[in-house]
Amino acid sequence: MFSVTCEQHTLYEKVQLVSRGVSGRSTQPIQNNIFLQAAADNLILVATDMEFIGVKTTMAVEAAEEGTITVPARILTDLAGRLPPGPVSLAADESNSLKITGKHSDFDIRGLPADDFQQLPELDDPTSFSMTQADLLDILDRTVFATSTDETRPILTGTLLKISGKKLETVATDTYRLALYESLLASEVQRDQEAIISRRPLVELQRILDPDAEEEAEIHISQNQVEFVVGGTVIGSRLIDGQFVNYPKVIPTGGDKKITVKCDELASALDRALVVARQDAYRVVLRAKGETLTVSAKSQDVGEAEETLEISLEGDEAEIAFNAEFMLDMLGAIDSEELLIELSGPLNSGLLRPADDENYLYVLMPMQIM
Amino acid sequence: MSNIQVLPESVANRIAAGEVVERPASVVKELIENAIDAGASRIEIQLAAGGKELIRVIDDGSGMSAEDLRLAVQRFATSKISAAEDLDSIVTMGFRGEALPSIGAVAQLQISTRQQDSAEAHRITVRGGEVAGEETVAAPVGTDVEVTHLFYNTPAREKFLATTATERGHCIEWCQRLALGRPDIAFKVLHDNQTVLTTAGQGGLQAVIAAIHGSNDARLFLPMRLETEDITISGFISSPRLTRANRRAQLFFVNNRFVRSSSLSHAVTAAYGMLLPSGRQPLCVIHITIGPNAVDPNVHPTKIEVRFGNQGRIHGLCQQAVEAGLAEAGLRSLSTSRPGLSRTDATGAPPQPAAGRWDGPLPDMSRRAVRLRVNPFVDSIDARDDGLEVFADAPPDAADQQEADQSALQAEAAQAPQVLGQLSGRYIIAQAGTDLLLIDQHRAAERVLLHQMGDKTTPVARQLLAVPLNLELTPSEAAAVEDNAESLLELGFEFEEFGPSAYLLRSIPAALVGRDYETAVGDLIRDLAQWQAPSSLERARDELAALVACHGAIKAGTQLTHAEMQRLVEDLAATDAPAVCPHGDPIIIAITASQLDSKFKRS
Amino acid sequence: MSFAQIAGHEGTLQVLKKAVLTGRIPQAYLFVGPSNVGKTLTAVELAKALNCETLTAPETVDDIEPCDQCSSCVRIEKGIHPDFRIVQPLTRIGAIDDEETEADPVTGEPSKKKDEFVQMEGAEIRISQVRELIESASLMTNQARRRMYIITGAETMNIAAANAFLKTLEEPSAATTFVLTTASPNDLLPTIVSRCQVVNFHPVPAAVARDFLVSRYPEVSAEQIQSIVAMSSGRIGWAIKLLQQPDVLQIRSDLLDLCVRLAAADWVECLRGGELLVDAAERWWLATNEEEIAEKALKASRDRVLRTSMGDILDILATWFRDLLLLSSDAGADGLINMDRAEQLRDLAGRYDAKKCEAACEHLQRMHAQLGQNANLRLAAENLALRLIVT
Repeated sequence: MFSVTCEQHTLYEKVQLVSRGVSGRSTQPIQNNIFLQAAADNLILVATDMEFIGVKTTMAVEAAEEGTITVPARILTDLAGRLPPGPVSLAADESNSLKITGKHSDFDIRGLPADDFQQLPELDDPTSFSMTQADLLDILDRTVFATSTDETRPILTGTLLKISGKKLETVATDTYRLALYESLLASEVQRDQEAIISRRPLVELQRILDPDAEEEAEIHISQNQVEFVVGGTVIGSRLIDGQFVNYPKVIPTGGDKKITVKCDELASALDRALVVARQDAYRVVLRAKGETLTVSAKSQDVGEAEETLEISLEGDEAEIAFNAEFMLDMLGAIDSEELLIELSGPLNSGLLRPADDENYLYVLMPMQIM
Repeated sequence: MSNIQVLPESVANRIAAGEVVERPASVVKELIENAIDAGASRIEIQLAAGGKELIRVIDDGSGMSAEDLRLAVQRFATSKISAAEDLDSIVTMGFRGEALPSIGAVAQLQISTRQQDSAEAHRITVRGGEVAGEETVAAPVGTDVEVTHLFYNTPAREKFLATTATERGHCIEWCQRLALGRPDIAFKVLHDNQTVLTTAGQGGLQAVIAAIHGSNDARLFLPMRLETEDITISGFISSPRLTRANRRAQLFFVNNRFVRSSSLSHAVTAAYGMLLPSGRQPLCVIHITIGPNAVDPNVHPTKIEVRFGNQGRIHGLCQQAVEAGLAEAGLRSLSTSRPGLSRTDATGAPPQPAAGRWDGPLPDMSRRAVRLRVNPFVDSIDARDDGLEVFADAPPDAADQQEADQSALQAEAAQAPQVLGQLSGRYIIAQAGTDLLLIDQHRAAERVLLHQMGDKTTPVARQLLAVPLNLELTPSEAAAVEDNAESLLELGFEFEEFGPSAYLLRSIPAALVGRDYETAVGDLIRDLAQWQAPSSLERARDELAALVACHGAIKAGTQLTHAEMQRLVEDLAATDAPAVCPHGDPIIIAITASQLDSKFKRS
Repeated sequence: MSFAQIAGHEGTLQVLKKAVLTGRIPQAYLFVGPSNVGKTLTAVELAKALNCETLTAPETVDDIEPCDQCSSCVRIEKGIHPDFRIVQPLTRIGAIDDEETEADPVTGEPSKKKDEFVQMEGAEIRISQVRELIESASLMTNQARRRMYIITGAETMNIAAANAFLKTLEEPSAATTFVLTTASPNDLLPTIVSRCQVVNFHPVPAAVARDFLVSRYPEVSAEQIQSIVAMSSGRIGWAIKLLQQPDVLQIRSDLLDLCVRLAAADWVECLRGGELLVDAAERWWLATNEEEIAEKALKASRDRVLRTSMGDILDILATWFRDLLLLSSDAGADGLINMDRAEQLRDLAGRYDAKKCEAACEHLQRMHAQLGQNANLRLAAENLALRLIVT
């Protein structure tokens, strides 16, 4: 009836990891618990709110007796973190209480029987592919930040993954800007697939992806679910229902004014201008003329700011106002030396992308210049 | 046990006394109420000659069994087994059957009724109080009551009946009232085969008002709603442009039952104040729900004059609700437009109304006073006694009061508050004369910013949208968007026509970035279309300004230097409404020296 | 549970079953009817029928009956189905200090202390509950053929919550059905009502309720069932609740004993009576609510709790005087509610005429009204007891 022995350090790490699957507001109390299963020298840990996120991970243990139990995530995490380093044994009895025994400690946690616990659902006939963890992290870092936080329009809180053949397009937009990353898969997928994935599992995924890891990340997408498998850990989520915005329409073409600017210089100029711009809805005005770009902000209360940068400009001089924070979000997501800004008119969208990477696009809608 | 049982003598006597059947309209009322109590979703009323010749009410309610039907027409039967005052049956059962015998006694009565699970309908015919025939017929589920030749056997009564036109009016008036009481039921009223009223039973109260008053007049009805812990007051009041010479069109429903109440009528009229032309009365349809069990035992089912246990409170709440509804439509100002500075007793009664057209406490004000009272900060200093004074707005337009306040303000200003220090990075402690002031720094900064912005016509920053929002608009909403395109653009909302009744929202005010602008713009358009009130735009502008102010203002938790605090306090004193932040929360809490003395037991 | 085990509502169930059979399930239902009459119960059965794994190819309306065995049925019944959710109006109990935050050991972020909620007078559906619902509804379904969200007491949504919910109703998802239940549909936003298919629930006829309870609770005496059915006015759920709580029967018995005593009481007894009423209200609350929460709520907002349950106490008292009224008229004893006390009632009937009974009922009503008007509960109760004496 469930009995294992493991290291405190590993237990704490895994429990912390899996407890991300608990939303704390699940309508069903048992889903605020972590499911533990002892099976053949493994301890399987699962937590899920059944909707937005589910996390499942495995750790090697000495399993004396196979079995299952669920215990409150909060209490288990709290305890695991406070136990002294060294071996810890976990054992459940018939009354569904979990005995945790550390070096000098002895705890009894009231649990719930595992029968009613909702596991991560099986994926029905998924489309599967894999890529290096570094690539996946890169994709997410460049897109997820552009999702909306306004939960009244759920679709916009999600990130679109669109796979056709070998091509993967990842898109996010909050209606003010749109980030699109195009990448190539190692091989063609069995079937083309689209999925809108909510922010929560992706943020957790960003947290566990290790860019230096050799092991690839697997992605499985079915009609209603997505599952990411990263080094023995599974993060799953239900997809958001609905039609994603028609994003190709949003991407501007024919920006005839092309500005090339050093990313770090622009970022620090924006950072300083923000002190003033914060009072004016984060608005900064960019003026490109000849070989200079001025970044200016004005606020009735604070005053004015103006920064001058060296650039190279193709086409006529240009003027446009952007939300400085939205620009900084994008600059923070790339590590290129130079940024390419393509503009047409002051009230037309601007296209920003790293000068050395054709695959990443960032469309930014202007603000009105006053 | 049958559903319908014989009444106790006491109730029987009252019915015998003819309380129920005075004129055709009372028959109409009883029959419709029966239909409502039977759970009908559709009720059709057919009248001929003002109801004198025919009153027919057809419903699709639960119907009666043959046995119940026989009992129902017997003298003094009702499904409520005991007295009219009986408590729990008011909740559910209604008074089905009570009226039928009385009606049967003075008219020719024929009832066909079929229950859901019954294959056939039962029909009973009553003449002069005696069952004249019973048969099985085919009919849809529900009850069909046909009353012909009312008072044919009581010529004395018949003589008292008014002209057909008058009786017709009374009948239709009751149909209207009952339809307004139950917007969820579809009513169809025909008089001499002409349709005089139809309601869909779907569109809610407003749709019923439109059905009764016509869609043009219905547009002049303003929504209102007020909720407290135990009472909900909701409904519609007429714009001052739509008035009547009497109060007949002021309709009140308590827990869905129509009631008359001179007290409520008075409260409504009082709320309008000077808005009404002299001698005119507003129209209204107001629903009052008391208690979650929807039981108001004080409402006597056969009498419609209502008494409330706490007349004064209901009167006050009703007036507040109407005032708030008028203010919402921009018809009277409750806002902080030009308030002075006054002192309100934080724990006691609301401030005394000033002379002028205000004959009651300001709703806005008393609400605020309540809010201040429950402010946890206030409570933590002083739980119960009258130890605290809180600044609040003075009534607008109350000239006398304002003058007095103005001088108070000047007196205060003469000895500008001296900053003493900062408390936990959130509150500024200052001294004004001998008073101790506690000032919320974030709210103070917000108020100051808003004041400074209000002085200038700051252009609103506009954020364009990469993915325009597709809006489906009604014709009147589309017209409102077209008519106000320029003002909307000034606010930051840019619309583009996108086909019949479809519009694209191309830009929003930057202050709304990251917020639910869909709801904001929807509300604004609906407001504009419905009330054609430029005040909607002004309010939107104020709200946006307040949002921007909130973003830019010094946050709680920011350490301030003494000079910064002093400047903030002085700027605050220069604003119109230093005591209340743009969201209506208190900024300043004042404790007088005498209050401190009493706290320290130094009298 | 299954449709077959729902007492009454045959017509209504027929309509719903037919919808299941034909697959024409609207995006939203509004179940309208008195409280505790079986609306939520029916909605749960509907959810089961729509998702039952064995109910795949029904041919007639009579086939529409959830199996109650498959994992879908079981999970819905237990409330652990991922595509099924019930949202109820709740009142926060206990004073929560907004300032007091503690670090959440799971996320490391500061989190507000967990609020506890309970259903009682003045409870409402909060905007946060609706937001969670909207978010949940935005996802694809997990395993359900038709996802169902039940919102009980839908009229308690405040205006912000109702407007937020309206938006979801306006953008229907093919696989989802909302069932809203309410006892007062007029308090709902008309725009919400107009997007729902309205289904009416009527009080369960006494005979149906009695037969149902007799077969389901053979251990309870027929007389007690008769009394409870009569007290419940067709609210079958309430009747079942009472039958399941032996304490409740004891409280009723104590109250009726009090009524007997009051018939010949002196002033002192009346004051004691007042105390007994307040005490009964407290016992009633504890007996009819889940133990742990009931006690917490009682501790946190005692006055409000007692006001909530005092209403039921008054209803019980009213049955007594209604019975006396019945006996004092020539109507006979057939309709007695407190059949088990028929003898006592008959003994007392001579001392009450119709007028006195009506006066007693009026006093009860007045007290009912006072409950909503912040009268001092104990004083009101003592006052009531005084007025109920026969002098």
